[in-house]
Amino acid sequence: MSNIKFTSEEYDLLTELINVAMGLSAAELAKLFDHFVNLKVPSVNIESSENLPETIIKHSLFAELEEVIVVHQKFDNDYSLKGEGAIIFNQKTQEAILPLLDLKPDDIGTAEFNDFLLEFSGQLISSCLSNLLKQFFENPTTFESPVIISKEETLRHVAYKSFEYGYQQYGDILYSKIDFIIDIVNFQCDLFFFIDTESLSYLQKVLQKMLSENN
Amino acid sequence: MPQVNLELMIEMFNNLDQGMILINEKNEICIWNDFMSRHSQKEMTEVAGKVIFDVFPSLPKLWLTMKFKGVHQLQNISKVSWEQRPVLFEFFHGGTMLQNCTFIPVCDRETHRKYICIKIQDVSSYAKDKLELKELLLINKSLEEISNTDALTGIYNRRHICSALKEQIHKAAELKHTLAVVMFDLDHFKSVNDNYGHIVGDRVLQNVSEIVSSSMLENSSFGRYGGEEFIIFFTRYSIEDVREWTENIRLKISQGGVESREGMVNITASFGLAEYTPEIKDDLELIHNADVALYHSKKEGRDRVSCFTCYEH
Amino acid sequence: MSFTILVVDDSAFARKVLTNSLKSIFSGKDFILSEAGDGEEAMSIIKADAPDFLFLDLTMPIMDGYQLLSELKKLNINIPTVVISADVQGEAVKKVNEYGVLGFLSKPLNKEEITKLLAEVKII
Repeated sequence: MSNIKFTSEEYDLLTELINVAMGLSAAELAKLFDHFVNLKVPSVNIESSENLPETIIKHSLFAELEEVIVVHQKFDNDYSLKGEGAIIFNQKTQEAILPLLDLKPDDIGTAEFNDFLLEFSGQLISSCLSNLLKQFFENPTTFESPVIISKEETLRHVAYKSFEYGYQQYGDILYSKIDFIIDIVNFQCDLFFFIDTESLSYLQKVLQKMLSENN
Repeated sequence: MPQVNLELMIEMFNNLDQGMILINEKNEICIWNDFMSRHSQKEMTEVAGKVIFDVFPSLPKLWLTMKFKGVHQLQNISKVSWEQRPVLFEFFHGGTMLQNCTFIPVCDRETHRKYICIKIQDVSSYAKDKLELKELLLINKSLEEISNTDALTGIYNRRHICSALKEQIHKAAELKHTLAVVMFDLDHFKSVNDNYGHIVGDRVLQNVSEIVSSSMLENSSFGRYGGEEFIIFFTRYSIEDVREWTENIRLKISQGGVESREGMVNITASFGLAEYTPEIKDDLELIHNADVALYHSKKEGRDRVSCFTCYEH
Repeated sequence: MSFTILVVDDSAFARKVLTNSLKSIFSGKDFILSEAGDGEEAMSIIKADAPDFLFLDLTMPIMDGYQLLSELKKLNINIPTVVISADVQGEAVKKVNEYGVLGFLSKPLNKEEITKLLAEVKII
């Protein structure tokens, strides 16, 4: 649980950097889908993970008792940022993604669909992070395989289970939402990053440096 | 500068007991080694220039294309284990090969063209052992769903104790009596398994369960929550009484031990206590509070008892 | 004779980076820099001050870059515009070219690229 507070200027810069990262990610995903992709991150916020489950519930797009799918992925940028990213979506999001793959509603839950969901979420997380971090760090980020950690549990259940996954070791949560638009497919999902206090403090220093360089 | 003996390198490459394929950005095969030739019964000259999805039609195209793009764009090494996908490349000769695959970005230093090296490792024998173990675990899991007790220790299993706790929360809310939860976790249990083996590890779990079971009070219930995590709940006791009892258990566990061939194996445990209050919505929240207290015990040095309300954040 | 440049971006930081670069590129010249945080604000400034040049971010809340360009076209207002975006997809560039913009700058911005583009479109 950290007590690091970001100023509004620092938030503004971070949001801008994440939007740039998402813009670059959108371009990358577009090459894959052969369609125009629009990825928007409306705002970014950071909160201490003191009451982790309630924080997740409070800031999630989804209702407490809604069934959600969570994909998470660990990352490490060597001496700078370390933590885990998680993307949360629901049944509707899955249905929205089907046309991308030429699949039918019956295909939800099949191995092929789950694999795609996994790979797709992993790419969103790793691409966003890579593009974010490369704007100020040169060393590459290592990513572990993305993992689906919940398939049909409620948001509440997942949020409380987060403790079991070891999220409490991370002092802070960076949370946001992604507005994803590709052709006729339009969905929103939660994006949470769990980072340790040292990493967050380092990030703040980097942001402060960028702000002072541009003043 | 010593000349690199290319002939020898090629020999080495072809004698590897792993499949190696080099594909370009269009997913066309450029190079493949003898391992691949032997298992697919196709020489490199036959497949060179062909798109990998045409040579292996059973490959999951969209997923794999996405993987390749990820590797190219992010220049990260990506791995797929047999547990995620047991058989990615189907070879019809020599039976089913369970495989671990690795995708490595490779760049031609002169032309700057990007390639991916796909490494295929045969893990069939190792995987089959693990699969058997997995099946056993699944059978155990389904047995647990019919029974209420944990096979190893004889105490209540997670499903049963959590269900009982849910009931108690309803009663506590209605009848307004006290309810407290204690979560505890064996300290450094992984080291016990690593240093003394799983059989000794199991005996440690049984020993701890025995110590707790024999000290149980009326109106309390004890169960196994996870691998080395346990849960106890008490109704109609004050938090001070529960704390005292827990402290006593902590001491007994730290004093007890299990004999092994390498000598006495001592263990300690960290405890977290939480009280039910009307603001608490459900078992998830109450267990979470106990977990937070347990985490506090761990951070403060382990082998101790912490109470959720006792340290206010 | 002074000229006015309007910088439109929802990020204060992005505006700062751009205005700092512009101040340095145009140092010694007589020019006025004004800023807006979204399409609507930009529209009011355009109607009031008629700026000579526009730097426009595509992704903004309330009214985004595409919407602003479309509004300007409807009102027959022609301001030389350079569009800025992190999104370098062909589609984005195509959409924007339909409005006849001068150029496209990709984020993250740097002074060299800004200078190069301005030279290409003969502003400097």
